[in-house]
Amino acid sequence: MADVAVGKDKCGEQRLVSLPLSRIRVIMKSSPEVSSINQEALVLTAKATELFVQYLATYSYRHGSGKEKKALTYSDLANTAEESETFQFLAVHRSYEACPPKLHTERSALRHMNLFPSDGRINSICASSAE
Amino acid sequence: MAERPEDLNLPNAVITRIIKEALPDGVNISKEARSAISRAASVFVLYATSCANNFAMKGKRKTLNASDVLSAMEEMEFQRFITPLKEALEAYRREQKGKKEASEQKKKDKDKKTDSEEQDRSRDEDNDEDEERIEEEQNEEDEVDN
Repeated sequence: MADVAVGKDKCGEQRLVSLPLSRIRVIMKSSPEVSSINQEALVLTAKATELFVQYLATYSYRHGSGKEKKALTYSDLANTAEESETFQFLAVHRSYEACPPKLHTERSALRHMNLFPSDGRINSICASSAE
Repeated sequence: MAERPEDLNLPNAVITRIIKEALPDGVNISKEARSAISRAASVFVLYATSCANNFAMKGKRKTLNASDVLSAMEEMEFQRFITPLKEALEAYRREQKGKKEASEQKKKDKDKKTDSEEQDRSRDEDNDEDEERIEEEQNEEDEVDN
């Protein structure tokens, strides 16, 4: 599937989804228990991810201190992860038990990701002490 | 199997554009904020996939489908996404149906022309080139390396 970087396709119509389906698919397939993904599920996951990005950005901006300076900063996002129940799955906790059970199987993939450490330092999600 | 970190990241340009379009004009987005949102999006994909997969397994299916993704959104407490997702699904299905009908129609037209080939030879050659180009485009889009 061709990567789509812009919102319009060859005919000038608005593409349903701007995120590249090929990349979304790679991420989905990195999940060990997933066998196959039908095309509709792929499109919906990509679309949901776009909605998520929009929601995370606007929520963080509205609730963050960067609002006065007309800026969205890292700390706005870190605060969102810490304080909002909806976005809590993004927060990094030191204890393994604090990780949402659903993410346990994605440890190996997520270990490479640095998200929003609760103690302010850059740390991998589901700390390596779990290994 | 270890994945290289860059394999699980989404393209910065697209993420940045989505953020910019969501926020009011003139809001500055720090590089760290953008990077964090991008990583969060990847985590979201994984979380959603895992959740959707649980629903597929409950239904004794090995292939994730659209309803699994919608159920996952509900489960993850992103109900606000469900309506726009359902609309996107409808639009996608209409688009697919349109493509299928268009290629079936072209096949019918092609068959008809072969019958009257002697009369319209030069016109056929032009149309065949168009068909090949359109088929190539469709094949690119339909390719799913499962």
